[in-house]
Amino acid sequence: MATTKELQSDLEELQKTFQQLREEVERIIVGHESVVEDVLIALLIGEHVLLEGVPGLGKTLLVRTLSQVADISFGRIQFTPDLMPADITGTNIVLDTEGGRQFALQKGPLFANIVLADEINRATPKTQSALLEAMQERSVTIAGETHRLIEPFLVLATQNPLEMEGTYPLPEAQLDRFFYKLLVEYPSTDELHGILKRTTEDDLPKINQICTSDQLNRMKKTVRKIPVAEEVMKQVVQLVLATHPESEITTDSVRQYVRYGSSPRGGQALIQGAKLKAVLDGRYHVAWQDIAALLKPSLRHRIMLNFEGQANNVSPDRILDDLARELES
Amino acid sequence: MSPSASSALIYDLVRRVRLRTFLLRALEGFLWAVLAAGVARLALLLWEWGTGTPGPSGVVVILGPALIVWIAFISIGWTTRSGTARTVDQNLGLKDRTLSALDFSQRHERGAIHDLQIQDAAGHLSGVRVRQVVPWGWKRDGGVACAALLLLFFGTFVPSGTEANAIPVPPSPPVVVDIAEQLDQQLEELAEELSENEDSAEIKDQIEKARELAKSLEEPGTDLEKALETIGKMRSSLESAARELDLTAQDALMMALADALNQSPHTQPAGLPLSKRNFKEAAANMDRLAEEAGNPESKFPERSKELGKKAQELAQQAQKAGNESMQSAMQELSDAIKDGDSSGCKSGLQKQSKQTKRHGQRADAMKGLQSQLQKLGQCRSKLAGSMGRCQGCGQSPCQGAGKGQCEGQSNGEGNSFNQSPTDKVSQKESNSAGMEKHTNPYGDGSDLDALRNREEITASSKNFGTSEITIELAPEMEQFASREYREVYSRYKKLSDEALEHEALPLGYQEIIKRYFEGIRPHRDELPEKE
Repeated sequence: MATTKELQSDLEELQKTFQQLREEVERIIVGHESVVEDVLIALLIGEHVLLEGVPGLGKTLLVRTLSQVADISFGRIQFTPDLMPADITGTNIVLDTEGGRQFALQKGPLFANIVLADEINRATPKTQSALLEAMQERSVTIAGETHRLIEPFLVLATQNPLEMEGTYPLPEAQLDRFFYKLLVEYPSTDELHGILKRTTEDDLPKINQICTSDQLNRMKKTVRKIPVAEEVMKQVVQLVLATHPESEITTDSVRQYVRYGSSPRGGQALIQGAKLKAVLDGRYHVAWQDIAALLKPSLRHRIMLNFEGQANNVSPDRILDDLARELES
Repeated sequence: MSPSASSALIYDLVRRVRLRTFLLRALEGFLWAVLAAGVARLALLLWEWGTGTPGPSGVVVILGPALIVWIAFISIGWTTRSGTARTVDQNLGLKDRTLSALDFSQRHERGAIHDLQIQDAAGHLSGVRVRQVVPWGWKRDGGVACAALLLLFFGTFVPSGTEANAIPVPPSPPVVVDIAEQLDQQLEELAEELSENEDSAEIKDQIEKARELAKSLEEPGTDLEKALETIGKMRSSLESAARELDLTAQDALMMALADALNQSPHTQPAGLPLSKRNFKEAAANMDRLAEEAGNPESKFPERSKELGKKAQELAQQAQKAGNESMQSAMQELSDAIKDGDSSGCKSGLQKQSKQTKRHGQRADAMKGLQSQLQKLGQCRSKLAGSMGRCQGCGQSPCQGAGKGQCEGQSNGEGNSFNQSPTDKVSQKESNSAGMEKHTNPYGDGSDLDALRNREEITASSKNFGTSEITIELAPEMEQFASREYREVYSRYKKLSDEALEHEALPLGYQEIIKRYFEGIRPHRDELPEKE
């Protein structure tokens, strides 16, 4: 068992590394501070993220930068309607060798630490489903043989909310696999100014490597050690239950607009992320404030609106705001 | 600081914060309770001012809300340890540090991270004063206290609606006071007389009741109407007493005895006064006759054979009337005369003498009662005269005129509408002509037999008459006129599925259509049942 001093030094290292990672990413990405922070949190806890935003906001650049600062392998898949599952998982191919012909595994882009699933909603449900096993089990099965994926493994998917033609919205089961869904908003005036200036100059900033994959794995284990008080855990349980319209402790807006609430994965996402948030805040415990900060990224894609909610264009974020207010009071 | 010392520090702080929270809540509760009492008192005052009637008991109305408010505050004030820790965190901005530290310090299996957290929390809490965590809101509480004092002052010194609206009670009219004094004196005398002559508790109670009623006439606020009513009640009491003292049967026996005694010359001295209802003299003479009968030489039995027979009959009559004393005396006298027993004759006559004396006393009491009833009738006439009503029946106009109901009640003055006691007729025009109100101007309803000539008719159901409306029973009556939502949904869902399958639609639109139909899908209980 780690001693107090060792633990303290691990936590300090984690804080420091996170800060460096953030600074390095922010050298490339202008604005989107909260998105950058949440993506880094996902990186450190090793969970998948869905980024939603209109084209040209730097989603792909963010993911690519992330792979570079952490010195980890990076795979990119541009999802199209004709993409096949084997295109992302890999396949066995016939090779002519001295000993004759033999099958060899040609690994797909999933065999990387960070996989950028660009415009994930353009692929057919069949191909999207190929990601399910990889995201949950962290393994892929090719020709009856299961292959473990390398750690850390996280899928960072992007999707465009505007162009609906020729898209296949992600099924609920797959949405649930993403720990966070982050909304990449349009930049502000200053941010846009910074983007234009930085991307049109002659010298593009060079990205420095901050940590390795081993460090990331170690930090992931350290974060899991952060304890959660029973009272806070109860609050999270209540919160997850309150997203269901049948719950007794829910709000009117949930009852009116929600068809299904969050799965237990929503609670897991809240607690894991809150643990890292607590460490970054210099604490050794999870507080309600950490949970509240990750409420929308963790639960917004896990709340399924009913017909009335869709017709009235109710946003899940509004429902979650009501819920947080109710529980805090 | 070691983890155990840190835990102790946190526990101690939480304990002190808990105690202070409770005490402050109790104090705040007390102030709010006083305020609630003041508001309740104010509401009670307003209610009394509005209605002019006294409200419910002040103690319940004022102390009830105060107690409820105080108990509510105290029950809220006693928080759990976790609740207190949360308060500490919120007030000091510690982000659940105290709450988590409390939880971790209670755990049996604690790791390094738990110790670190407890030490971190203790570091933040060391040097924290309890009053920092739970400050006394003197501004708010002071305001509440001032408002409560103001309301209490107002509620204490402002007179209640009933006190302010209280109408001064007018003194009783002089005529009523005079009558009351007279009646009280007369009834006192009657009571004394009855106490000497009669020992019936029922009669004494009725007399006492009449006396109390006479005293109540003297109370302020007794008007003429009420005085008339009270006198009516007194009459009822005295009449009850008179009925209790019924002497009719006894009187008849005495008269029969007088007849028996008057048949013989030597017993006439006792019989004659008895015939004249002079019971005292009759009793004295009966005693003398007894002395004479006791002497064997007087040969009283031989001379009184006729009296013996009558005495036997009287004994039987007295037995029927329930007068055992007289029956015993007469039986003894009759037996003694038959047996020629002088001493028995003496004893029987002496016993009867006592009975006669006693009857005389009761007859005097009855006279007193009747006299008092007559006096009450006079008082009633006097009061009715003062009110301008009939002095006989006390009603206006007289309801006994011509029916003989007023006789004897107006002391021989007959009906005298508005007749003044001085018997002078006013020559001036009346200012009150037609001003009198009457609650029953048309009199009581006639007592006709409403059921006269009523016939019971029973209808026959053998033949139906012709009907203008024809009702046909049709199967449609038992069906729904509208279609079920689920039926319509199934039909259109099928159509949309066919369209999605066979027609060339863009992929994105196909998904929108599918989502739409998923959105309007009926609930589980609306779905068609599977066969």
